[in-house]
Amino acid sequence: MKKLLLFTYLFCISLLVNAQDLVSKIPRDAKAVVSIKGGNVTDLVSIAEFENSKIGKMFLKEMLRETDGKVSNLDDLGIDLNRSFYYFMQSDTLGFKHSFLIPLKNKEGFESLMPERQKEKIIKDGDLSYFVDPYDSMVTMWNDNMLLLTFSQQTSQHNDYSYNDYGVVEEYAVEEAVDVVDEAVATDYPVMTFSESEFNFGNIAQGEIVEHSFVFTNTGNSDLIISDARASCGCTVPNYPNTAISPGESGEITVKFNSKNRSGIQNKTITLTTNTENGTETLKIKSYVGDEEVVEEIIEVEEIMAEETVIESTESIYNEDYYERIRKEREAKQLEENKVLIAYAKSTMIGNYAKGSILKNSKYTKAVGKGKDEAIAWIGDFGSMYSDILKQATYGLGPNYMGLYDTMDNIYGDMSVTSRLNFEKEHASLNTSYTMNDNMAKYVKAMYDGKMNSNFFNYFNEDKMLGYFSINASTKGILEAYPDMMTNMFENFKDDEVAAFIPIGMRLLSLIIDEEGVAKILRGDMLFVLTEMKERELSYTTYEYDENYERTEVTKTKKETLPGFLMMITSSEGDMFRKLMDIAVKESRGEVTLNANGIYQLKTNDLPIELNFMFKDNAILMGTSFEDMVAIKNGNYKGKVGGTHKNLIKKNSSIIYVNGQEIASTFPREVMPDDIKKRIDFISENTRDVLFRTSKVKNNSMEGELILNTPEKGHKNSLAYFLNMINALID
Amino acid sequence: MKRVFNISLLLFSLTLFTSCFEVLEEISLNADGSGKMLVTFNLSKSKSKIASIMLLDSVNGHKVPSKEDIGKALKEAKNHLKTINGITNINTTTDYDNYIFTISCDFTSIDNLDSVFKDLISKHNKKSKTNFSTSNFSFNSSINSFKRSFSYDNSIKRNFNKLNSEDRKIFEGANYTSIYRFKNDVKEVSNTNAKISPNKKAVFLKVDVMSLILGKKSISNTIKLSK
Repeated sequence: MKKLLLFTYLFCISLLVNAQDLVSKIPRDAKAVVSIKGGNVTDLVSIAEFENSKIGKMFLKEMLRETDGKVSNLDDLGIDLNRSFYYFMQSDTLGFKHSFLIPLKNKEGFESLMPERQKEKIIKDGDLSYFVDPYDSMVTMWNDNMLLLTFSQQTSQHNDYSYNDYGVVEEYAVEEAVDVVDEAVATDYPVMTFSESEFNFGNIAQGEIVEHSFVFTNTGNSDLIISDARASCGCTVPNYPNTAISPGESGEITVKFNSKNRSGIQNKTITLTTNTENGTETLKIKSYVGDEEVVEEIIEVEEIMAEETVIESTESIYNEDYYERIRKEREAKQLEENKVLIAYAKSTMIGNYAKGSILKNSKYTKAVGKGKDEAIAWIGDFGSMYSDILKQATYGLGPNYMGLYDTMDNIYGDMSVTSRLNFEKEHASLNTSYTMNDNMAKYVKAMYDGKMNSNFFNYFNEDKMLGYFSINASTKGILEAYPDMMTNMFENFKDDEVAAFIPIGMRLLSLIIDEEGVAKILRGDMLFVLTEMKERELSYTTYEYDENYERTEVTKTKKETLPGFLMMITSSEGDMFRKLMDIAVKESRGEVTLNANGIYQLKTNDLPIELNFMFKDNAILMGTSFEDMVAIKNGNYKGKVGGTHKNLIKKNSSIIYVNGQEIASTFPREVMPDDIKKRIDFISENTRDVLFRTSKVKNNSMEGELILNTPEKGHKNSLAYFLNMINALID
Repeated sequence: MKRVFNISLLLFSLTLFTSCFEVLEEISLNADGSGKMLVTFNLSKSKSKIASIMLLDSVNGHKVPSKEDIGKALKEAKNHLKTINGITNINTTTDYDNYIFTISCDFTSIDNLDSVFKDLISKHNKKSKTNFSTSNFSFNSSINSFKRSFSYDNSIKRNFNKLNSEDRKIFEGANYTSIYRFKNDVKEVSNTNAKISPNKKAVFLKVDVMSLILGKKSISNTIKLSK
């Protein structure tokens, strides 16, 4: 028995060693990390189950098409779906570097998917293979264990190609880099091979317009792009394809020559601006305008007459030289950057960091924990990320420009965000938690330090409700914290006027506003409840015709289902409410009326429903049901709210709750076409509810959580539930 | 000129969001060929829906016309009618409580009435390569026959099929009714769905809009009157 245990243990260890988690490849100072736990996902829904679902089939069909039939199941991709996928981001003062880590079963599977011409571009370095995308410079690097995609995003201004790129200072570096280019990736250029680069139209009459097409083939290894074509004379008009020509493909350059006002031997050059190694390609046309006899001479005089070309095109060639130089400089710079990125990618693949991996970063490990979450996104430190961005944007303006970095630090310093996606047996949730610094936490806490009016729970019935929206904030807290927060934010701001004005302005604001007075009008807590779907009778006008088809207008009635709601706002200013409503009664020409029960009613054709308002105890109520309002007013409404919802509403700063089951089952199905009816039935049988919760501030952190509760029956777990729902609902 | 279409467009766009609406076309023809026409758009059955929709700016990507938009369009339609010879006594009514809109006019001859739409239709035919008959109404006094022309064009179905299922539903339960009243007795009608009143003075035709769109039923009709 012991031996068996030992064996199992060893087996597990060897599994761990083989299936090394790629998290160790993420450097300790990564600013953001996203992980998808492949294993946790495949535990919930197996690969076979996914492949057999409708969405899986759609996905495979697409893959089959994309890879020319090479991939018929997920296994063919060579990706190890049982291990974790990662994304991480590093930032510095120059920009961001983004990397994706994808676990591979072996490199053969992945490599076999590549088209032949892509395979030719692969560069091998030990057990590493890689290629660099010529357009976006993304480095794709892999070995038997993993695949890495990495690219950098330059955000700083000074790195853009502007006038200072051509300054003297950079000349030297550029030249050096140009050499590197030539050696390193010369094979990556497209090659333009013409069947002929010269054409002789022969003897033509003056005024005749002739045309010829030069056929070429891209015999290089990358897409050929022709960006311009110019002739040495306005009499010659070239036409070129403006789409990229893939390797192996052919194209045509059409040249039209107009001999009007020309005579004798004509020699014209067409210069193409291309992304080939030289950057330009040239074509020539010849003709003799006038007598036939001179044709023979053409060939002999050709060399001398070439002069004309040069004279007419001096300026344009000068420009082409200039632009070519710029282009080469850019390319050289790009290649230099590619070299840096390749080195970066290699170090990521090795993952042997001096300071250790992200697992040594206690902020990360604490935030991520050891939960069974299927996906986690983490942004470690907003403060340092924002100040990096600021430094990128204000490059060259000196350290701590205008004191902005300190300002950022006051607000965002130590702020981090962690999101987790979790599929449990009976619910799926997306939980995001914000952790902020003490300063921010103090203010936010005050703002959301509200008390929910417990009278509200007597005014609605949770068995019938379709959903609700609650806000539990503190008006007093907001009004007190806001001026303070603003003052604090700009404390270190170096602009004297701003630094001086904000504290004074904010002090004034807090003097003028009577926080408690405003809080009396609106305390900051409110609850909006979709009470129920209610059927009501509605009259409409139509026509009836007598036997002679003379029409008469008649009023008929029909039944309509409309949702009802009740909105509750805490306020202690009952007198003010009544005074305002009395004004409305006077001014509204009968649209607002005061009922004997003390309920104000608003009936207007602008609204499809009628609204009732009243003040009860310490709250303003606004609702659609007059009967309910009367019952509430007289204290005989039978409210029913259980502990679960009471706690949710009271203990969080905001809740949005949607009772999907109730909505779907009370939905007026009869007006819907049959196929939609079936879907509604499916939803009402298979939906429970959705909850979006924003917590109060606790230990400097605030949580937002989206929870989808799924039915217990018929679904293995919440991820399988999604697949089943998609199966049922898509065509 | 173009703007006349605005009214129908606007009213149509209102109907886009509702499921029940009625269009009523009434013509009373005198013995001398003059008469009166009244067109009614009744959206009353969907009034609560429209009232809620009119609180919004747009629905399903369609702009919701405001009361001002509708009023303006009706006024423009009226102005257009004024420019046509033989059209007099033009009246429009709006009822936002029930969402009923009407436009009426007197005409000295059927030809005057016909010319209201003639230009618009021929322009539309040219622009959209459709084949609608440019003549809607005609009266042949020699044989005393009144003709309502309507040629179905496949573009109707095509455009309808372009709508998403949500928008298509709107036409289910919508009706088009035409009532033509005459001084002389009606001898016969060509449209099999049309009914002649027992006093032989009126012809009644009610078609559901879906059949009209799909080309299953037509509103064209030739009505022969006694001399």
